[in-house]
Amino acid sequence: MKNLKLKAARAGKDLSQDQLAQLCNVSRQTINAIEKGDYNPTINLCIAICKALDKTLDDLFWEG
Amino acid sequence: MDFTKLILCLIILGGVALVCFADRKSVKNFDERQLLYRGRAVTIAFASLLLCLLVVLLLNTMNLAWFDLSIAVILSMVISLTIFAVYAILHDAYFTRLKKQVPFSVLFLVVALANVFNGIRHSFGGSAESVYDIVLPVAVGVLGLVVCATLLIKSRIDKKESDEE
Repeated sequence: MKNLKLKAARAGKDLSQDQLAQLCNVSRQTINAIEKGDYNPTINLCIAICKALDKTLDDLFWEG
Repeated sequence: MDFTKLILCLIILGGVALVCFADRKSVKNFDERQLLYRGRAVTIAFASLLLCLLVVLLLNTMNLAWFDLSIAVILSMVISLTIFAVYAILHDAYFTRLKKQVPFSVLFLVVALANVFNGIRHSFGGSAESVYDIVLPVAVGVLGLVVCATLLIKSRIDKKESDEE
């Protein structure tokens, strides 16, 4: 399932996938895979992404 | 000593060093997804190697093998290496995290073509001392060509993804 919340949050911060990837110290393809729903990140990476985007885990990764 | 071969080796090594040096800033550790896919690539390559060896040994045991056993074993290794390389490249989990894939593609292309040319030269020139002189360079050359093509395809996919973003 696509993670549209992550994509929207990234766009809201005016960050490209590459820029977000550098902030989280992962590859651009990994951010792309998370947004497309092709990869489930570990909790550590989720936290890194949340910190980079100033969001909570619930905001980005909880399907409620 | 064959100085032509020595110079060729030095040129190739120089090319590898140059490409690595030029792209040193983009070299980082693999992230968690890449490590996962590298693990899968190793598993698939290992399974394919075992399968190839099983087929080779089965044919050999049944006296159905029309090939040299040692060449078949080496070809099995080349096939599994190719599978590993293609899977890892397509999942962005190859070598190192490089941004510039084209220089590496060119490097692989040069080395691959040199090997294929060497094998063909031995074959048609009649200079092969054994069948190894023909099969091994061609096999390594084909591996290099496949890696080169996969790198170029992956490069295009990445560019398309970036554009669509």
